[in-house]
Amino acid sequence: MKRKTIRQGSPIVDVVIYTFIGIVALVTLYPFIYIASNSISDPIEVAANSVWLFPKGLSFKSYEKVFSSPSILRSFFNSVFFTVLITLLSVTNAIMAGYALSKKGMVFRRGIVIFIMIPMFFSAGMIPSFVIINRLGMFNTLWAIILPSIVSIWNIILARTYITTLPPALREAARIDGANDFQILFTIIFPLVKPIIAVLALYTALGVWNSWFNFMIYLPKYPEWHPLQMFLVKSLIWGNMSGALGVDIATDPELLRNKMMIAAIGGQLKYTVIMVASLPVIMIYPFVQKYFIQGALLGSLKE
Amino acid sequence: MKHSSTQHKRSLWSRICEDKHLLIMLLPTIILLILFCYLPFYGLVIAFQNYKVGAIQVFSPEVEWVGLKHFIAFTKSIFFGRVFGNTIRLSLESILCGFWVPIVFALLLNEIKISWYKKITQTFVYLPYFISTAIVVSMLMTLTASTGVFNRLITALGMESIPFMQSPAWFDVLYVGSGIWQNFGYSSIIYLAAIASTDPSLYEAATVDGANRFHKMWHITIPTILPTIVILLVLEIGGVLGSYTEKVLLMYNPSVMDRADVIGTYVYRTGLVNLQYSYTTAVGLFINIINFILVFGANTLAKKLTDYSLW
Repeated sequence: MKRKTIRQGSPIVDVVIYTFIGIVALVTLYPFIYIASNSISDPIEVAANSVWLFPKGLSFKSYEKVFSSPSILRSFFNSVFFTVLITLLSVTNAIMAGYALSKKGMVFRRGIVIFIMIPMFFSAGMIPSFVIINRLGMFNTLWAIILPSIVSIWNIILARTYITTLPPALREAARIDGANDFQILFTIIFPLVKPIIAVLALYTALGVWNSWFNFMIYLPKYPEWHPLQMFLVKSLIWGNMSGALGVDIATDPELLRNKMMIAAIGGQLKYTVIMVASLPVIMIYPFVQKYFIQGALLGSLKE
Repeated sequence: MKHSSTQHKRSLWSRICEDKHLLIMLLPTIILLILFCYLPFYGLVIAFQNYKVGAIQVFSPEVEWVGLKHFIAFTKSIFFGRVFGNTIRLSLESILCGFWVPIVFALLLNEIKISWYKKITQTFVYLPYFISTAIVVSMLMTLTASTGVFNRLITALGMESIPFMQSPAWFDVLYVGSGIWQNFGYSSIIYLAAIASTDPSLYEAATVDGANRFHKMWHITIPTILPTIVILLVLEIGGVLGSYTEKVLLMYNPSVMDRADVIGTYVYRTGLVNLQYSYTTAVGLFINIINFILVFGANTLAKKLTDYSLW
């Protein structure tokens, strides 16, 4: 009997598998739905704990509050600033280094490769790095955030691997025409390596956008330069929300009439702040998913 | 000997001239690695000193060399067993509970033939991987709060509400569970790719022989992806000491400290908060040496088992 039901292409097994996969996907997505629904529901419903799946009522009051907070706008700007700057520098550097190392027989090539690979296996650790950055005079400066993030050994290896697959005749022909290596890199190689640039840039940008620990360690004196993730840590995980937002909900003239509403919006803010911090990634991700999948395969299997 | 060396020098100089642009391209990488990777190696000497905060010279006459004092102090401290134990326990639990999930998911997803359905489910399950640790922990706190959806469900069923984040017994469940939630989808990508590389003629032949889908899964798909499974498992076990410091740092609080404190959080707290630089450098060095042996051993083993290797 049992054999019969699991016959090749049995529609019952298909239904079971399709349903199971669908449930897994929805359960995985659920926390996002829960947070999103709570952030746009009527604050009173949120305070009453009645929203668990779909939004009840519709209110963007808490979004207004969040976006009228100068500190969150500033941290949003900081996140964009560091993400764009570090991604630009890091990917350019990886392509340059990868191009240089892809030339067979380059002088000192073997030594430089070993020099670049060693920090992949050995790391001095958190404290010696901190002591050195401190002694370099970079503690509590933006340099401590930007400079150490520029070199990504992994990016250099991926760039080199990709560039190595290009026909060497391209480079040789250009050299015979009198082009130097910078001209070759920027006019011939760059247009050809766009796919790998996309992968490297997306992973680098994601990493910078999601980072907070280095800001906490290296930039404690300048909270005005902290990114959105750091704002989330300070307000939601370690601290109090309305203080971090810098907007006093209780003095809003429109809301002052309704004390319950004030408390309710205060309670709703946490959902809204989580949404604001994750929305950029959630919105961009479906369109660039294929690059992330490529990256996942590049990262796991060295081919 | 002498003349060959001068000849070599001249040719070396001409090679440097030829590749000067390439060397310039590598210059930023080399300088930054020296500053932020190699200078910290030199900074490791403070593990053998009593380094004072703000000391100008690492090698100055005033520096007090203490040999292995800090290493011995660490192995004798009560934190030694605690942070080691917690780190290894959390890693092993994550592997035990989480390692098979992406494999099973990939095998089942491979049975989905309607492509839009497959695409949508993939998009959903990969999403958590791209969310920051800060957001994951914020969500965890929100969902498990006394007013969160978990406790609403529990109280609706007539049970006492549970202070999840403050309960040592639940810490592991939350840590491991959120880790699986975040990673299983993304980890399945590599298995899906391995499954896709299976020779389709094997399936056709099996179909002709009357094999059903579970026969094929068991006798064709799983053997095909077995090398991938073995390698990833070996590498994960090798990385058992690489605890996820940032996540624990955001998740732990005084009431779960005993079970949550891992090597990374201990180093951070003692070093950067309590400013015991020399002691924590020694702790970090000690851990790094063990960790390196484990990772290197795992990689060597993986290399032996197949042609694949991390480097």
